Amino acid sequence: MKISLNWLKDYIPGLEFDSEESLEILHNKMISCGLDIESIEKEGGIYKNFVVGEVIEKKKHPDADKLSLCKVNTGEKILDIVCGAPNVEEGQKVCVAVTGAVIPNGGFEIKKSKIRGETSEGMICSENELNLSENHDGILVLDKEAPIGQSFADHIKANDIVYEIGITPNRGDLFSHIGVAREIAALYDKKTVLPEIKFTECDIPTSSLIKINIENTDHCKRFTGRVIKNVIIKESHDWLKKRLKSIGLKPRNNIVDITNFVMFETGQPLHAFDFDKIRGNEIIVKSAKEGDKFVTLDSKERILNSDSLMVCDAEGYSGIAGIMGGELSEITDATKNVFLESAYFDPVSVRKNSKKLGLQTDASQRFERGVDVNMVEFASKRATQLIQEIAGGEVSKDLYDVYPDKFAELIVGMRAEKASSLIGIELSEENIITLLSKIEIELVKKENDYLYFRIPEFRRLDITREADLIEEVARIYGYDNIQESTNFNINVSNSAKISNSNNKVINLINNHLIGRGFNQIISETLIDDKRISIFQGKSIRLMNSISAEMNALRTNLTFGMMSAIRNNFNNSGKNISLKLFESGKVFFEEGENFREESRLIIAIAGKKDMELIYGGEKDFDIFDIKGEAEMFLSKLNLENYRLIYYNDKVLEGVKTGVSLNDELIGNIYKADSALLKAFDIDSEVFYAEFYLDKIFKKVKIGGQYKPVSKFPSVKRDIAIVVEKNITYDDIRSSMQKSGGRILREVELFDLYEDDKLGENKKSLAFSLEFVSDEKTMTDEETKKIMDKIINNLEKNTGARLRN
Amino acid sequence: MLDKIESIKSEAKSEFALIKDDKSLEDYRLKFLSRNGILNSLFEEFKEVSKESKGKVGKTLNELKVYLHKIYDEKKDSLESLAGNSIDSADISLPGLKYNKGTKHLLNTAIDEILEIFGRIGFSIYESDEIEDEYHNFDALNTPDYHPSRDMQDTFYIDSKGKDKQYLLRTHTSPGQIRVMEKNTPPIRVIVPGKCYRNEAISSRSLAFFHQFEVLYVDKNVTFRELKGTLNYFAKEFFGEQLKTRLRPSFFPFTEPSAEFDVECFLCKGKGCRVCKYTGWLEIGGAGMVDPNVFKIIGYDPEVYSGYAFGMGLERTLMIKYGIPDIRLFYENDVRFLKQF
Repeated sequence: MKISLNWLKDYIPGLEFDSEESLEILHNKMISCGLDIESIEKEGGIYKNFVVGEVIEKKKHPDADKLSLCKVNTGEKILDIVCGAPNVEEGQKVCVAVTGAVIPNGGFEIKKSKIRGETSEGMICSENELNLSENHDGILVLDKEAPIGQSFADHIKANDIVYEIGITPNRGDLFSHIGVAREIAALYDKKTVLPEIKFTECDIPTSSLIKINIENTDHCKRFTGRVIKNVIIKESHDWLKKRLKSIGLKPRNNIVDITNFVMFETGQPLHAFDFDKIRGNEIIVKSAKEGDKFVTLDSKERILNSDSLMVCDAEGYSGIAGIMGGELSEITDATKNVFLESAYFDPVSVRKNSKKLGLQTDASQRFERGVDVNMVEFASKRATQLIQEIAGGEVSKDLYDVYPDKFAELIVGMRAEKASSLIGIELSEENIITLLSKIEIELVKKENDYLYFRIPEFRRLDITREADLIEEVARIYGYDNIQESTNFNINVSNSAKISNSNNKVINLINNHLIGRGFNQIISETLIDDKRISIFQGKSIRLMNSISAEMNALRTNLTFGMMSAIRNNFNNSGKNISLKLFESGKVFFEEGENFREESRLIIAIAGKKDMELIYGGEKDFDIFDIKGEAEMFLSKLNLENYRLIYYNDKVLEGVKTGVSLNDELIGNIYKADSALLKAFDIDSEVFYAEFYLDKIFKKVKIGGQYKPVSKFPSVKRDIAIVVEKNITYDDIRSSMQKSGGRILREVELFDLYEDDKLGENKKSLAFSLEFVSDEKTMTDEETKKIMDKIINNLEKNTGARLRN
Repeated sequence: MLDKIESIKSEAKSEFALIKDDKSLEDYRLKFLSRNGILNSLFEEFKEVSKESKGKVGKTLNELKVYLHKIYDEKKDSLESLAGNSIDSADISLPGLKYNKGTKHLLNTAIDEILEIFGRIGFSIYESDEIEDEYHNFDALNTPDYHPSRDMQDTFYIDSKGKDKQYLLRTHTSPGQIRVMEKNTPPIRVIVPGKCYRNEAISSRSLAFFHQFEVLYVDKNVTFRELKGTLNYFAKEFFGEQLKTRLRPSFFPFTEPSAEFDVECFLCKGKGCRVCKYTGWLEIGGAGMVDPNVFKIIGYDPEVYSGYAFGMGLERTLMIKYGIPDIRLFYENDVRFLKQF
């Protein structure tokens, strides 16, 4: 909401700001009482480098008939200016834009230049160029007394300051100059004064000219009307136009300007009808019929619904109550007689209607936050007065006022003790009464511990409870004046019980992966439903997405990861090494419910990071991601996992399941070609996705101490030859089964394939480590167990020892 | 003879200083210590020295012999040890064997820091779902349907066909307040971090989602003064000791009184700059005392309990703190961005 300081001062007599410092104090006071200043605009700001000058010489331009060469005294110096205006004459006082000035209408900057060969050091301005009017017939000629060298802003008294104030939904009362004036008056211990109402009524009563009937009294609480006959529609007076322009409104005609002015003055929206277009001299306020059509005064057709409260005449709709009038009864240049509406519409009803129609106006914004029911009458009278002053006309006798259920006075009680204990400072009853009276909240009675206050009508919706009064007390006391307390009363035992976080495990995972050289990413949760179909599962869809690219919730982290990998390859080329991870939520629909799951994805792509200099340029392969996955599980002490290979040929396989106690806790993947294609990636990508919720349940950080054997270990190497289709896993599990607990480590240290080994054969070499918890193992004992391992290997895998 | 010994000693000293490698060391040995070297020739001369001088000259000559051998041995050792080092690598300045620099995402680094700051004064972490129902996101937070305050947050609604409730993506972390109070009794002292969603046009300043955290403390006799103390403690720990703070009256449906929390602009230190729009202040978050209506909805007696809440969005604050010009940089996941933090 734009607020003009000059306008505001009309309602606070004696309030003046004579220096930058006094304005600074005002701004700080406004901020401290909750008036959120979003921007400050100084009216004179656009007239920087515009000064009053005198034309001391005028000659014809040698090369151009329509141009004159002028010498203009600006006090500081005499400027040469080429001027094209027909009305420029010696001896005139004019407005001169000097070097650095930016012309308000046009936006160009004045610089010293040559015009048809002649030097020009400035510009003599027209009203149009200064944005003062549409007049561009010639330059603006100032009065003879204008002091040479005075800044133009000072000369025309362009000293207004306009604030853009952010208004919270509870403070509908601040949507007006009088409303903001009340707050500022309180800050300066002053009272606001409303303008005095004076107009003359004719003998014809309003009720003889029109009938008003409220059918829907739930949604329309008060409706007033008056007729002003024989008005003259024309341009508004300058003062009125200036006020409207100062808050960014475009003047239209005197009647419309007056209703707008009064709305921004009082907060009460008004509507002026062309009285002669009201059919049957009757106004009925009632709900619309679902599906009916109505053309509003912006010439748009609106489809009404049963929530649409309408102002109707004898034959049909005339306006949408509290939102916008109709085209039919709009004020035009031909209007002679005016019907002036001022009403109170129910906030929720207006809001519902405005939402359904998708139509928000200055009026609806005010009604839905609640206007002041008492202001309905004042605003009508104020507008009537201004219409008579500016447009002339005969005012019908008495306001036609339909107000069936008068609002009861709102009285709210509060306890000084409650206010003190909530805010944390000692407040006496006297303190509270004084503070609240500043904002027109007056004490009506004291009873037991309670102080009862009358709430002014303009705060009816905002202040209904003790808590609301306590807030007002704190606000007027000043948040700045409340001393902080750092006595935190920590109750740790209870806090620990309440927490439901797995942050400890998440931290362990993050730290491990970061130490392993992974960069954590955070990717978009909202994705394109169509792209999810690459993956399995049904996604949860949004009803009101911004775009098709973000119309569903992700069902996995792969989508975001693939996008990140593609972006990095595009940005940095394919020769980089990418090691990324993300942990976050994925979302599923499951029958009646929506389910959120925590996931972790680890991915690698591109070149091996360690190898870039020393090892040549090798690409990451499946064993890198497998190793990372296994190290990750080992870090979480989840050693008892089992890998399930979904393809016979592991090296070309696409998926390996990781299961723990027969529950799948994740998968290791080599991205298949369809997935890579979907993301325009032409390098290989390896990744592992883990189900964190399952891991959270299984992971034990710490755990019981397991004794370390006191006896030395014995190492034996063994090299075997097997058929190529025998897997490492087959061999290792056979050895582990035979070795039992004594066999502590099985380490593969050599693998090769050679025709000399025989057709379809390969050789593997292992180092085996044996440890007994009971004694030092003898050679004999070691040999015994080695023989068992070798025999079983032969049996299970057809292996033979290599010579 | 004594003079000669002295001059040989100083000659040996100056030549010795020039020895850099095995060759010059060998030259030294040949000249002074070999069979035909200067030392031996001195001993030959010594045979001719008179009996009465022999004692003194002999002693000096022996000292020279010991000295020349000592410095030779030392030099030899030091040359050998140097040579030993240079057997494998000629250029020690080659890069070390490094792998990729791992990093935590800047947002998570900030969240962890905040969790730690509040953890120190007893706030424990409470996680709450990103899919919420209308009741927990709005109604229970004293934000009824068709109240203008619903306009403060543009909401993504979830297609909830066949469900008994209307679901949505949480627009703030505040439903976490309701969830934790529903399941527990005071005292409650929690911090709720997480992703939130708003149906806003995408620009360099806003995306459809952002990160927020929320603190809630409910107990007997919790005061606005304590809220102020807590916020100032947080600001000092997170932004730095020297920054001023302020609370401005504001409105949130679920707190009363409500306040906006500002800190002095940490770029211009309050003098006014482009980032703080020449106000000297940055808006950091919203705070207030829990509205008694919220307590009533939960079933807490507002005559017995009071509490405060504070919420803050992270992206915009981090953008200012780290000079990040575009919010989208947080989610493009470019490693050239990620590795900076």
